Amino acid sequence: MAMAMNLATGAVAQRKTLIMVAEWPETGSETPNREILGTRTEDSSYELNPDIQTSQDILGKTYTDVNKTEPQQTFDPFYLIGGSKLGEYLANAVLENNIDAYTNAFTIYIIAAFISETTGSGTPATYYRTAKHTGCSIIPTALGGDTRNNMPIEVHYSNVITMGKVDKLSDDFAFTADS
Amino acid sequence: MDKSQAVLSFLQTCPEISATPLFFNFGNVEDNAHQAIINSDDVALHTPFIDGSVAKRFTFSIDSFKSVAYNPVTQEYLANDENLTEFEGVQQILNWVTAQEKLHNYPDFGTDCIIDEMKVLTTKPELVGVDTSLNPPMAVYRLSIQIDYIDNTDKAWK
Repeated sequence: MAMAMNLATGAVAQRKTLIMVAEWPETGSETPNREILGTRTEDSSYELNPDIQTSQDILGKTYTDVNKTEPQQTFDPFYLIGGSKLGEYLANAVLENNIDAYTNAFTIYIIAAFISETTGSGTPATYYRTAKHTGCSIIPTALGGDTRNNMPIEVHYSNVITMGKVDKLSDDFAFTADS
Repeated sequence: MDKSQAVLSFLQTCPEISATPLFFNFGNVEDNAHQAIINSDDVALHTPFIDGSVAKRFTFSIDSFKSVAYNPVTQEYLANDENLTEFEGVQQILNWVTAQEKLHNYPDFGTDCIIDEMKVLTTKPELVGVDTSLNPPMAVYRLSIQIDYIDNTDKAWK
């Protein structure tokens, strides 16, 4: 079946069904690391940051040109949580001031779990609509805080996009590009 | 495991409690008995995080029943003052809970819940009353304990 919104009429998609997953290579392993972004973050949006130019002709009609978008997303707080490989990786990069470790170094999957494919009406989803951005940056902007260590991050998406689908909502998903 | 059961099981590993009767919500008022009272369970602290997990709070109290004496405090018998000794026994429970927090040794709330912090809300046991109708009269000391945890039950990402 084709991809479709899996929401009841009038129902609003819950925030937890928009999932951003970071992927980066593991040294000495063919299996990359993956980690969902946004653990213990209360509010974060995929900001398109469109570059908009408007002009008006002599008849008074306004024209709008969107030259480009520079998608970006902030995760604040991004707490350093036990078991978080991404937290460990980025904290080390911050301590070493190793900016190469996080610049254009990540693949980010944007999974819209509210758009899915099923084998039939009323059956569980078998695939979820996904945009894969390669060459993204996850930039830590601070480290510290009050009682808990917070390391806010900015995700800068590359716009090098492969559209496709993932088969499950967990770290071991398989991504299939659209044919 | 139910969270109330988990807390009771956890309390029974406390040396000060394990050797004495422990009741849940209701029980006999007797010397050295303890009573665990659940004050609130699964209270969400704010709206869910963006991944669907929720920060929640579980609060319970431990009441310790201790017989009281009406002897005045003297320098000579200070070390053997019954009321002071009983109070220090309750303080040992408070100290034990605080020590478990430092060891990250918590009640087992199941695989979907991650305990963030467990703390006693007072630094000393609170004397909440003395029942003089009993023989011997019985004091009730209370410790209120708060457990903050993350409930991942409704997370979309597993």
